[in-house]
Amino acid sequence: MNIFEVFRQSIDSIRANKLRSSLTLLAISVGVFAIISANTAVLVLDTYFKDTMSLMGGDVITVSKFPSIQMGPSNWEEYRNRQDITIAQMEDLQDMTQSASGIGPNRQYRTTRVSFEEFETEPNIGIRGGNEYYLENNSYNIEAGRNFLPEDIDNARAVAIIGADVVSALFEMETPIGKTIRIEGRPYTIIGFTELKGNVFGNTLDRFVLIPYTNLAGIYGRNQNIGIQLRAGSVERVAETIDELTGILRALRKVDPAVNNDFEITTNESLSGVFDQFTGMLYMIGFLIGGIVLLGAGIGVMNIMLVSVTERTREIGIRKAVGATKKAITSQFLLESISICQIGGFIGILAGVGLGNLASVWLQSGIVIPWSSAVGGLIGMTIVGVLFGVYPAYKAAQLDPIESLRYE
Amino acid sequence: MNRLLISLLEGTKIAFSSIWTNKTRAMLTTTCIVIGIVSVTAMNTISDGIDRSFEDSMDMLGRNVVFVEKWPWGFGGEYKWWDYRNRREMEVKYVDRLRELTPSASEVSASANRSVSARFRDRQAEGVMLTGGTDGYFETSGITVEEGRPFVASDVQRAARVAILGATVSEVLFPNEDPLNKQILISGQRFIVIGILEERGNFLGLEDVDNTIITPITAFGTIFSLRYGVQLAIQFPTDEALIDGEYEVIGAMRQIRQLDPLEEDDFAINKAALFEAEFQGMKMTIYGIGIFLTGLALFVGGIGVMNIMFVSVKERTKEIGIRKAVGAKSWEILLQFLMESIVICMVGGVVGVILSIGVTQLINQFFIAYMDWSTVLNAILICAGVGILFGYLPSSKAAKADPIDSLRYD
Repeated sequence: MNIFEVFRQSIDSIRANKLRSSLTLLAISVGVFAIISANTAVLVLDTYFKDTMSLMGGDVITVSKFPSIQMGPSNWEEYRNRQDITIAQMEDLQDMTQSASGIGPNRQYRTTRVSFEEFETEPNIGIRGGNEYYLENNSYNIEAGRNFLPEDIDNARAVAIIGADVVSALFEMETPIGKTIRIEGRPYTIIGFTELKGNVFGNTLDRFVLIPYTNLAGIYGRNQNIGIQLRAGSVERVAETIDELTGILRALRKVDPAVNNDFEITTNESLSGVFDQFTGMLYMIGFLIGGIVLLGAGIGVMNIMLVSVTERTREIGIRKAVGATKKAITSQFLLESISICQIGGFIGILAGVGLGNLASVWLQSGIVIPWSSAVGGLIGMTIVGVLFGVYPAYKAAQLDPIESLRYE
Repeated sequence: MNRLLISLLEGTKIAFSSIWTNKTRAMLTTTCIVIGIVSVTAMNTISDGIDRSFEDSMDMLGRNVVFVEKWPWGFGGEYKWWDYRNRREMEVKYVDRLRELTPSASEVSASANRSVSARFRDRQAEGVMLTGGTDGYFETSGITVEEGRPFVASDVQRAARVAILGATVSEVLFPNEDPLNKQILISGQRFIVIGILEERGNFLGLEDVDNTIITPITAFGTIFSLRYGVQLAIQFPTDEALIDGEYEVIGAMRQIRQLDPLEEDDFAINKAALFEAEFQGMKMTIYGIGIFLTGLALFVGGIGVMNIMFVSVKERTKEIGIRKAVGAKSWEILLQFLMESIVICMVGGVVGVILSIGVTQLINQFFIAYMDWSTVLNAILICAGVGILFGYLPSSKAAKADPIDSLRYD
C-alpha cells in the first residue's frame, strides 16, 4: 500500500462527511489563525518600534554624557558627576581615530524663539550645533538648498539649516532659502531646509535650526558638554569601532583602568533594543493564547477522529479480514487527521497574516510576512495532527477484526 | 405548560444518559469548552484586576479631589510650557480663601514636596518624597495614620518639626524598633517621628508611594522654599459635588487672583479623571485584543460542541424517528438535543470556573487578576449561551427530520 493510496483514502473520507469535516477544518483554521495573527501583530509592532527608533544612520555611533533612553531606576547622581564631553575631546578624537569617519558634534544649545521679519515661532525651537556630517548622521535629507561646507564650519559662518516644522511656522508663502532669521537677536542666513521626518512617540523631529557648531561655541562657550557622533563605515564594523572609540576616549578623559566608562555609547541597535523585552513578552503572550486556542481545536479533531473510527468499525473489520496490517490502518487514520490539520492550518495562516497586517496599515508601517511562523505553522500542524490523531488511529488499529465485523 | 415542563425534564434526562453512554466523547467536548471558558474568564479577571488597581491608584491621589496647580498635568497634545511658565505661583494662604469661597467643598489643603534623604543614626533612606502639608492634607489625600497621630492645626501654626513616616521609610530606618518619638534627620534637620502611615503600595505599578515622609508645610517651608511647587487640593463630599465643584473652584481661584473676565485662567485644574481619559484608549485596545483572542478559544470549543451534536443527531436518527412516530412534537426533539448541548457546556463552564480560580491565583503571581461573583456568573451565562448557539443548528436538524425517513435510516 503506497502513500498516495492512503492519502486518497483519507481525502475520500473527509469528503464523505462534508459538514463534519468543514466544521473541524474551521476549528483548526481558527486555532492557527489565532497563533499567526497574534504573532504577525507583534511582529508588526516590533518593526514599527525598530523603524521609529532608527533616528540615526545604521552605522552611526553616538557618545554622550547621559544615557539617551533609560528604563528602570536611574542613578542620576553618577551621571551628573561625570566630566563633560568637550569640543576639544572631539577634535582630539578626530586626529587619533583610524576606523571612524564623519565625526561631528551633536548638541542642542538652546530651546527658544526664532523670528523672521514680523513672524515669530513659539519658544520651542531647538538650536542645534553641528557640522557638515550632522544631517547624514541623523538621517535628515535636504529638501532644498545645500548642506554645510567645511568652510562654513571653519569660518563659523552665520548660516542655518532649518527643519520642516520651522519652515511651516515661518515661511508660508515663500522659499526660506537666502532669508535671514533671527535667534536671540542674532541674524542667520538660511542655506537649506530638510524633508519632514515625523514623530517619535509624539515628539516631532523637525523642530530645529542647525547652525555650525563653531559659531554657537563662539557664543555659548567651547567647554559646554556635547555629544559626539561618528560613523563606523558599515553596520558590521560598528562593534570594532566602538572598541577603538572606547579606548581613545578613556585615554583622552584619563579614566582609571579600574573604573567604568564615564560616557555612554548609543547605536540604533541599542535604541531599539530597549523594546526587545517588551515585544518578547508580547510574543510569549500571543503564543500562549494562540496555543490554547489550538489545543482546543486539536481536541476537537481528536473527538471527531474517534467518532470516525467508531462509525467505520465495520470497514476496519473488513479491511483487516482481507489482510490489512495494523500499520496500514494506523497510517490511514493518522493521515486523515494530518490532512485536516494541514488544510485548516493553511487557511488559518492566510487569514492570520492578513489580519495581523491590518495592524501595519493602522501603524502605517511596512507589511510583514512572518515566514518563519508560516513554515513553523505547517510543521506545527503536522505535529498537532499526529498528536491528536495518534490515539484514534491506535484505537482503530487495535480493533479485533471479528468483533468489528459483528459491530452494528 | 405542563407538557413543556415534562419534556424539559425528559430532555434533560435523555441528555444526561446520552452523555453517560459516550463518556470519552463527552469528556473531550467538555474539555474544549473548559479551555475556552478558562481563557475568557482569565481575561475577564485580568481586566478586572487592572481596573481595580487603576482605581486604587486613583484613590491614592485622593477621592473626589480637584487640584489647583501652576502646571497642568500634561497628557496628549502640545505642552505649552512657555505659556505656563509666566503664571504666578500658588500660595499656601489661598487655602483659607478657598475655604470661604467654595462652600460645597469638604476640605481644602495645600502641600509641597521634594525628594530628600532621611537618616536615623547610621541608617539612611534615599529618594524619600518629603511632603509638607497643611492639617487638611490627610483628609484630601485620603491617607491614614496607622500608629501615632497626625499633626494638627496647632502643629502647622508653630511649624513643629514633627514627621509622619511612610511604611517603606519606617521599614528602612527602623527595622527592629519602634519609630515613635525617635529623632530623625531630614536633609540634616532634626524631626521627631509622631506617626506611621498605613501601607498603600505602588502608584500605577510604578512609584512606591510609601517611600514618603509628611511634615507640617510650615516646617517644610523653614527648610525649603515654598515659592515654587505648592499644590492646592480641594475635596468634595461626593462624585456629583465634584462636577459642580470644579467650576466653583475655578470661580474662586479667579476671584483670589483677581482676574479680569477677559483674562484666561492663570492656574491649572488637575484631577484624576485626566489619567482615566489618557489610559482609556490603551485599556480598550488591550481588552479588545484580549477578548477577541480568548473569544476565539471559546468559538473553537463551540464548534467542537456543534460537530459532536451533529454526530449525536446522526447516530440517533432512528431514535428520533421512533419518538416522532409515537407522537413527539418537533419542539420536544429540539429541546432534547438543545438540553444535551447546554448540559455539556454548563458542565464545561462549572469545571472551567473552578479551574479559573487556580489560574487567577497563578496570574496573580506575576500580574494582577481579580475574580468576583459577576465574573463567575458571566462565565456560566456565556456557557449557556454557547450551548444554545452551537447546539441550535444540530437540534433543529433533528427536529426537522422526517419520521418516515428516520425510521428507515440505517
